Amino acid sequence: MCYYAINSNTNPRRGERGIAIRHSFIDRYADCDGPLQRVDPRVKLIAALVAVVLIVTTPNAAWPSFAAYALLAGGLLAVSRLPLRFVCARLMAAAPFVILIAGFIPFMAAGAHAPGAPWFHPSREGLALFLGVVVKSLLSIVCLVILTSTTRFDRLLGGAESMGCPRLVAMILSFMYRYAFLITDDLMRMARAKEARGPERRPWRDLAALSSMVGVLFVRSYERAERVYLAMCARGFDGTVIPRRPLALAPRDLACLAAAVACFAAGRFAGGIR
Amino acid sequence: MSAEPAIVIRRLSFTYPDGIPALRDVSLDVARGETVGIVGANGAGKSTLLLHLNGLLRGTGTVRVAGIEVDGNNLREVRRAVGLVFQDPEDQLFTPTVYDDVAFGPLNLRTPLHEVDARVKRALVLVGMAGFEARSAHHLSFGEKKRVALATVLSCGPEIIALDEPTSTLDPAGREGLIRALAALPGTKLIATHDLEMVLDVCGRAVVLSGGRVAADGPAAALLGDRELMERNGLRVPVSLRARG
Repeated sequence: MCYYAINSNTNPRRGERGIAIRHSFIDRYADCDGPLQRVDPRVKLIAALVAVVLIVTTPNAAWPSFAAYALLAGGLLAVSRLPLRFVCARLMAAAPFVILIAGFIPFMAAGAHAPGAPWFHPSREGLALFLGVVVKSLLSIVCLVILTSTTRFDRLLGGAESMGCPRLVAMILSFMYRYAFLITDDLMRMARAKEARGPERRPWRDLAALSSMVGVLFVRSYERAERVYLAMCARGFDGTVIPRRPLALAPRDLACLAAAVACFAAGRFAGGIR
Repeated sequence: MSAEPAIVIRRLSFTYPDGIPALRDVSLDVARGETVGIVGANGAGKSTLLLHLNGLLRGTGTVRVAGIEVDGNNLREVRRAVGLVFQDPEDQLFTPTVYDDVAFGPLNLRTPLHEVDARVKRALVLVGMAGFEARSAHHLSFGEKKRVALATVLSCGPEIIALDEPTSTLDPAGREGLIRALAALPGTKLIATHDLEMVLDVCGRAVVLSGGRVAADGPAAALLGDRELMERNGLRVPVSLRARG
């Protein structure tokens, strides 16, 4: 059973109106008892990396390959036990960045121009390129969402670390993950206290209040960092980062990796070798 | 076991960089196995005193813990001997899982990996948190966080445990659970707190700090029942002693 489901009544989520001290976790479904959740994090990391490389190196007009990737991603989503709404929300969070970057492609690429209004004058090649980039980006994001949502963050870091990621970097990322929620809690508490003292509807006033809150948050986070460092020193931390116990790779994990790489490679060349 | 007390503090004074004197001429002995409550108003120097025990702060005077003089050259031994539990468990639980937090100390003390697992398990059993290894601290209640914070120092096997406000902001059930866990712990314990009822429950002896000085030192019930002493030092006689009259 999902940890999230057990604690659904206390799970932080932003309310429809007003400011509740709630927020979501990127790996909230990682504790579900699903087949993808049980796979070794290193296998998922390598498979996701291979999938993304194959997707982004696929030629733009290779629609059979894109269809194959979409089928594969759909299959993985089906066994991942991730709610479709959750995946869509994650996709929507990333989509604006993709559109923002890819949005200029139709107007900058050379070639014959498609018919349209005088103010909308994209080239045909540019539109094809834009479409290819958007599809590839969304497929890659789905792969990464499956990776990060079905793997506990600490296991993901453990996997990255055992594959050569410096322990110090893993440690900094773990601090970020641990304290991001606390800082968000602090910000929401301040926002609630501000609203309790009278809702301010003038945007420039809100902006001024927000900037003071960010300042206060910075000072609080700085002070907390000092206390955390003291707590680390109190338990013998002397600047040397001690490696954790290495993960154990089962034959089943290797079979999963081989299957995932073979399927995505087959998808890459579904429309012929290009 | 040597006859030397677990903690020997002589003429310890400390002033923070902003010029505020926090400790003035503090001298204190704590026998091995003794549980001592350090009480005092806000700013009396309780937390500062605890930070001196494992060398996080170093003032003038001498501090000896478990027979080791606290100086810059033996901090690993000192920190192995003294476990410090901070007031806010969020400061003490900084890794993604309970297991990693409890294993952090033993790993830093270069405990062999096969022994780390056993230590983590033992520490979590002692505080009644067995089975929480894979949980993130963010998913725990405040009382559970406090108990895990205690486990993070127990896993280092310290001879002395120093706790800063262990029961602050706990609900009655959480407070009761923590007091039970504290009372069951072996070793020397130094507890800085405002919770005078807890001092009566857990500590045989109390030390009253006021303005960075030791204002009184003696049996907990006698000291905390002294109305004039309590009020002079910004404290109040605990309700249970008032009732006894």
